[in-house]
Amino acid sequence: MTCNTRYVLIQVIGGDTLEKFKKQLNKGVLELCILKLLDEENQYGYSIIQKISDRSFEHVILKDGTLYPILYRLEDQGIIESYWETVDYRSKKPRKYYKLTNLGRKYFTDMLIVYEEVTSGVKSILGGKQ
Amino acid sequence: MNKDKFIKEVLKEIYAKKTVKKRIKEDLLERIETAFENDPFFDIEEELGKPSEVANEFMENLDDSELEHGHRKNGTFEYVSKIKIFGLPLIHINLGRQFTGKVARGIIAVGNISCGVISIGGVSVGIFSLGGVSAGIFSVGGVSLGVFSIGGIAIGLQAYGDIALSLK
Repeated sequence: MTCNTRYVLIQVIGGDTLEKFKKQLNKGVLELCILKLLDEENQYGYSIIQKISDRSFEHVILKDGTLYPILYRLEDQGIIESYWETVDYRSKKPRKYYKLTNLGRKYFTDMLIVYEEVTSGVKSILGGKQ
Repeated sequence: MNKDKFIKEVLKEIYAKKTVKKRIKEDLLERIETAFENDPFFDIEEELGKPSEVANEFMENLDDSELEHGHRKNGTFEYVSKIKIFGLPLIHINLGRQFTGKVARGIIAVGNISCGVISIGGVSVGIFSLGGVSAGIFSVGGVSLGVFSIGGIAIGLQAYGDIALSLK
C-alpha cells in the first residue's frame, strides 16, 4: 500500500469514526447542557437551540431531531415540565416552555458532580503519567 | 416548502407511536413559528435540514419504546408474535437494510436470514423454504437445495430448474 493510499484510507475511516465519536460524546453532555440552561431560566425549544450554539461558539450544534427526544425523555422522567405561555408582546401565539422540576434540580446537581468526576479523571489520563 | 408540508414530510418518515408523533408535530410547528417571528425570511430547510434528515435524526434519538411496534433505530424491523408453539414464536420477522446477522426463527419466519417451518428469506432454511439461497424439504430459490427442490440452480431428490441435479 502506498503512502498516499494509506492517507486516503485514514481520511475515510477517520472521518466516519470521528463523526461517531462526536455524536457519542455529544449525547452524554447535551442533556447536561440543556439542564444547565433550564437551571438558569425557563426555555422554549428554539431558545435552547440558539443558546447552545451561541454559548459553545458554534462548536455544539443541536438539531431539532436531537433536542426534542431528549426533552421528551426528561419530561417523561419528571425531570422537566412543559407549559404553554404567551409572553412576547409581538406574538399572540403561545410558546411551549420547559422548566426544571424539583427532582430535576436535584438530578442536575448530581449530574454535575458525576460530570466533574469523569472529566477530571479523563483530563488526568490525557495529561499523561504523573 | 411551507411549514405544514415540511412537518407532514417529516412525520411521514417517523415510525413512532401516535402520541409521540403528535408531540413532534406540535413542537416542530411551535419551533418553526417562533423562528419565523424572529426572522421573517427564515428558510425552514436551510435551518432544519431536509425533511428526511430531520426524520432520521428523530428516529436515531427516540427511545425504542417511543417507536412504532417493530421498528428499531438502526433501520431494522423486527416483529415477534406473542403466540408460541413448541417454544417458537408463531411469526418472527427480522428485516434490515444492512446485514446484521440476526436470524428470524419461528413457525413462520421472514428475514434476511430465516429459519422456520415456513421460511422466507435471503438465506432461508425450513420445511417449506423460499429464498435467494434456500434449503428445505420443499425448497424454492435462486439456489435451492431440498428433497423437492425448484430453483435457478436446484439440487434435490426431485429437482426442477434451469440447472437441476436430481439425486434420485
